[in-house]
Order: sequence, then structure tokens, then C-alpha cells
Amino acid sequence: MSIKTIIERLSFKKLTGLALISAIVLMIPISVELSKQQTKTTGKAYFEKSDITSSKPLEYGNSPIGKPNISLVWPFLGKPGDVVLIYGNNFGNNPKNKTLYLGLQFIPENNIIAWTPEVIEFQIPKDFQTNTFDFIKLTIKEQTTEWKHPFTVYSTNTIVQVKKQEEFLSVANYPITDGVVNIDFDDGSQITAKVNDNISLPTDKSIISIYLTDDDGRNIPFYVDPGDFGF
Amino acid sequence: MMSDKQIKQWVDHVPNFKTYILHNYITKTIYFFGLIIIFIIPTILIIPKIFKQQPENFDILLETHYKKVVWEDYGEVFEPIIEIPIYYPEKGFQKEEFLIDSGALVSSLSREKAQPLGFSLAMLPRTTFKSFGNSYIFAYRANILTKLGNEELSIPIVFTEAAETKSILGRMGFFDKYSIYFDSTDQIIQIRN
Repeated sequence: MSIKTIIERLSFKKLTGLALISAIVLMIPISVELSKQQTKTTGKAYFEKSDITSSKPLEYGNSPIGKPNISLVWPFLGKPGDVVLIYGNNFGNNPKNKTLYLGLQFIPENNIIAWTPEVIEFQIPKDFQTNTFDFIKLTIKEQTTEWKHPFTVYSTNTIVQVKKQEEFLSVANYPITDGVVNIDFDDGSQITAKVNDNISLPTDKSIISIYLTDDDGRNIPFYVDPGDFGF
Repeated sequence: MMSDKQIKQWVDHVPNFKTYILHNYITKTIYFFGLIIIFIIPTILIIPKIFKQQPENFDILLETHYKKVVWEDYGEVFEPIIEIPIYYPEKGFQKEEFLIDSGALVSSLSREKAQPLGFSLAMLPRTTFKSFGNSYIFAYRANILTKLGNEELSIPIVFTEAAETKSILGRMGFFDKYSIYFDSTDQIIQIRN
């Protein structure tokens, strides 16, 4: 008996039942395959919490051959906890035999974030206190260099503000009537003016440092809007 | 026009035709395989849904559609941008567009937004980021208040120099607290609790 005859003799009821059984048999491998595909797409990668990354001291590297040279300390002011950059050359690769001072305070290794031959990045110690002008002083292998422009350390309570609007500089909230504002430029020139003046700035020079002094020559902490000076 | 006789002859043939069709092995074969296909189709449709991983319990705090941007060199690429209300002391919560960036350590806003958000950059902790060519960018750390659904959330951010860049929603204080779900089928981004 041929398949053709068998099929012709089967009733529709039987065909329906046979189709159902065949479908169930086929569903098994299809279901397994489909579920496998889903397993593939639901693969997961759990994120692992790493150990707490503490600010490890940098590894020591080579000392420079020549004398270190500072070309800029930027910005020219900051408060405890702020990061400051020292640009220059011959800094070495975080040499072991070195000291960095801000004013009279030693900058510990933990506050040094990066030390490359051209840039030193450090954080002003959080317990930093000052009552005088602070200069950046760097010694590597007994060779010392100093940035001759004062660095001003202020606090979040400081109210004196130096403002720069377009090409004019002014001092706001100055507590006493007399005082002097000193502005150092990148070409070595300087402007000294009364704190009450509206100071016109040259357009062809860049400010590298500002500091305020009272009549007795003591420094007056101040802050600036970073946006005014581009940092 | 068919005559009455022709019509009668045609009608008389119909039962024979029907019988032939119904008992033909081709018809029955088509019927058989048709039924199998009809039985299997629901299985194919349902099984993936059964096995699809469904998060057990979650609230959708925020949902937004993919935003597509046409790039000159790359064509249409979607950007994972969501609008999150952030708190301004003078205006209350205002929506701000953020680019979701799992590669960013911390969220960032342009520094122009610091003052309207009630911050003085000079009084915020100053840090640095390295930019292209290893040049340094100064950034100022703060916390802003945002709203996800009805939940208020303080997230750490930095104010950065670049004014034209997008606000970025980075990992710190956000990715570790919420699930960010990209649904390519429906082209939506969901922030889930």
C-alpha cells in the first residue's frame, strides 16, 4: 500500500490527531533550541567591587640630570584640599630625594598626585595654615628652585574677592581702606595699584600671579572666580 | 450566459468535485502539515517569552525614547540622553539633559551652571582631569539634588571647563544605585529602582 493510499484513507479526525502528536514531538527540540538561544542572550557579567583604592604614594623614578626649573605655578591661589600644578622642567620621574614646600609647610608624599619631568601635581594639605606669603620651593638632589611669585592660600571663610571683568581688575569686600594689589605678568612686568582702584589690564600679557598686601606689607588672603582667570 | 441545462450540469458536478478534493492526498497532506505549523507557531512565539529574563521587582523611575543623531561620517546613531530634573535654588527642579556614560567616573556639568545651582566655584574642592594630549583640566566637586520619579537623589558631580559639552551622567552615586536598561526593541531607556 503506497503512502498516497494511506493518506487518502485517513479521516480528517485521524489526520488532526496525528498532526497534534507530530507537533508535540517537534515542539520538544524546538523548545530546547529556543531556550538555549535565550540563555545565550541573557549572559550576565556581574560587576565586582574592587578593593578600596587608596591614594597610594607614587613609585619612585629617575632623578633629573640638571637643576629643576619652575616656569609656572597654576593657579596662583587655592584653599586646603585644592589641587595645584607646577609646570617646568628637570623635575625627574618622582625622584626619591626631593622636597616640596608651600611656604613653610612640607608637602607630604601622599599629597603629591603626579610627578613627571615637566609637571608636578599636588594637593594643598587640608590642615594647611598660613599667615604670611607662601612661595613654592622645590629641592631635588640638593638642587633648589623657587617660584618667585607668592601663592595665596585662602579658606572657605575668605570674603575678599579679586574680580576680573573684561580688561579690568577690582577688589571687593576689602576689610580696610588701604591696601595694595600686585599683579605679576608672564613677561616679568608687574602692576601695583591701590585696592580701591579699578585696574586696567594690558591685553597682550597674561596674569601669572596676584597678591594683596595691607599697609604693613602683610598678605591678605582673597579668592577669585576661577572662570575670570581660566582655571 | 449559461443555459439552465449547463448550470444543472455544473451543479451536479460539484459534489463529485468536493469529494475528490476532500479525499485527495494532496489536500490531506497540506491539511496535515498546515495543522503542525499552526500548532508549532504559538510555541515559537511563547517559549522565548517564558525564558526571557524578567527582573523580579522593579519600579521604572524614568523612561525616555532613544534620541537619534545623524553624524556626517557615521550616519544615524542613537545617543543615550535622558532628561533628569535637577534642583535650582531659585527655580526649583528644572529638567536637564544628561548623556549616560558608563565610562565616566563621575557626572559632570559645565561650570556655567555652578552659579545658578547655588555654588561658588572658588569655594568648591578643586581637582584635575587629564584631557587630550595629557593637558590638565580643572574641575570642581559638588553634590546636586536630582529627582528620579518621586525619589530625590543627591549625586556627586564635577563642574568642568568645557561649556559646549553635554552634561554627563557617570558612574559614581548613580550606576551603583540604579539599573539602567536599554531596550533596543522598543528603543527606550529606563532607569529602574
